[in-house]
Amino acid sequence: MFDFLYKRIISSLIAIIGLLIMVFFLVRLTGDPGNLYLPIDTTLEIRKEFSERHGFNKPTYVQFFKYVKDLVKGDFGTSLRKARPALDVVMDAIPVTMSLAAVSMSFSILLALLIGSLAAYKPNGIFDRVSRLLSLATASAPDFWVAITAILIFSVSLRWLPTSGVGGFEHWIMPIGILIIRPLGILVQVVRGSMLTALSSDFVKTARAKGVREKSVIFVHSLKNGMLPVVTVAGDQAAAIANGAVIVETIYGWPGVGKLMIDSILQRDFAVVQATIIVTAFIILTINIFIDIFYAMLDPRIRIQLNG
Amino acid sequence: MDDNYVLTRSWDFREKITSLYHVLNSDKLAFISSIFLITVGAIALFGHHFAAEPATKMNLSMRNYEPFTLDHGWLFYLGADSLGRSMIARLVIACQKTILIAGCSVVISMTTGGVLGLVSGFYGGKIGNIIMRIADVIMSFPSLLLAVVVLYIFEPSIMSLIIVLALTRLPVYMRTARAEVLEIKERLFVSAAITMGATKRRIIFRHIAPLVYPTLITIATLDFAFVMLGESALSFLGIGIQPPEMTWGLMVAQGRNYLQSAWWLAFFPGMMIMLVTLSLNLLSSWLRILLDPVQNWRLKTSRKLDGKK
Repeated sequence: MFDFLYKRIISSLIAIIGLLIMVFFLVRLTGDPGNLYLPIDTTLEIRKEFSERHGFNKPTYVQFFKYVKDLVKGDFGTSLRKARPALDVVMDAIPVTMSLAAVSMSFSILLALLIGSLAAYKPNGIFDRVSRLLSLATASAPDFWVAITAILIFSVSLRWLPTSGVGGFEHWIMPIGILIIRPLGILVQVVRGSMLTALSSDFVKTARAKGVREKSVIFVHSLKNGMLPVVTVAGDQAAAIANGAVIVETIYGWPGVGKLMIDSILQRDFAVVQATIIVTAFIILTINIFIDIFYAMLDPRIRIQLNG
Repeated sequence: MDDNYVLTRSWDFREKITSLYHVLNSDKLAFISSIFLITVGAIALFGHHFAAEPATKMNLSMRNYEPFTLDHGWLFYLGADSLGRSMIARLVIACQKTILIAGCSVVISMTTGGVLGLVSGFYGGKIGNIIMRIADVIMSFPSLLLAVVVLYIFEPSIMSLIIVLALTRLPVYMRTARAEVLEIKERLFVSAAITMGATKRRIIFRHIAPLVYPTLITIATLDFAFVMLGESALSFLGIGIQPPEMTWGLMVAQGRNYLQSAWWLAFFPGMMIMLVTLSLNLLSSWLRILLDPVQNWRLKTSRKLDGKK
């Protein structure tokens, strides 16, 4: 187990370094930030001074080594757009995206456990069929289109919810609603599958034979076992949620990581792009490693291996 | 002898088609979605012959013309856009690019990913392992963010869009092909082929590949939907297809500005994306059951029951 974790951490680190190298050199191909930040009639001297101050005049590999040297000290460079340390800019955006992701993930797991176990209780029953069709539909809906249609219905026509922005409870409804669509459909099917196996296993028959109430057979005996695959799939969905967050944050104007990323690329704010990618990759890989540990703790078979 | 062979082949083929029809007919949703997909495919292939002209003809008196009336002919049944161009014609033209981009990237990622997975699974070794690890980790990173960076650097053209989309889906095929090969290469017929002195290339492509192929095709149907959604999301964000060209995703993005005055500009293209991906998903879940020997009795028994009625 620890050997496995060790390998996991090493490969994650390699991936982060690879990502960093790729992004650092690719981003610098997009053109001179001086063209964007200085007025058109700027004299050559000022241009030179600008690129010297930010180190753009040196060869790219020299810039890269300097960047890595600073990075080790925890300095991610300075944001050109905001004239603040890039890490601070990213750290401002992280809580927004993290809270969006955490709320929508918890909602979709809870809903999936409920719907999935009910669907598995009577396979091919009406509830099962409807939930399966809905899962397919949610996997097929383009989230940006659903978001726009939701604005059209709930904000423009009915005037129930605000079109965009951050604020109280009513600002959360649409973004969360859009974000849970994709993971929910997948998770429901995963729960259904694992519950089907659990419900037909011997210990459930024993529980029924002992006269345990149906409710407790489903939600206590089977669900405990049915939850295992959910944990793994939920981890895979972390990246999917980040994808969704890019769309949701752009449409609803939330100042999160996704919006920051798009804005910084469009404004050639290199330091922020790099910092965003490193921090996002770090968070996602850490979550995945924690999920592996969590999984091992949940599954008694693996837990025994770990101790023995 | 040769003639006879051709004869049985063609008879076989017809038998296959009719049995395929029966199996397909037993699942109504899969049947409807395959008909819908064939129609969309035909529109993508031939639509531009009759829609190219009305799709670009501006008519300012028809600006944001409302849908669901036949007063100006069937071309304006779904309304007109902000420059008075027929929505139906524009949807038809956009269909071609949408399908083209998704189709090309799926084919590219399936073939390269499949071959890479086959080879790395067959030869094994350290390098194969390292490639797979990196693919795993890349897969856990949000593909949209990576695509955004890459697309912003290379001029957003159809070609770079196809390549980026193909790259982000590559690991799926690599993983699957590799996993299958690892299992298949232990089977008896592979050992037999090795003993008889078949070359490695022949074993991989003649003996193993045909068994991996069906799985890859099933994934590809599902992936087509995924790639289509990816393309439209990128175009929606403004870094995919650029304006003179058109895809459904871009049409949604453009329609977003007229949300309050003309909802149909964003609604219909998004609906088309949804219908196509939904049909693909339905079809692939049906394919999965059909290709799974443990489950495919479901389709076949219901067919027999239908016959008895």
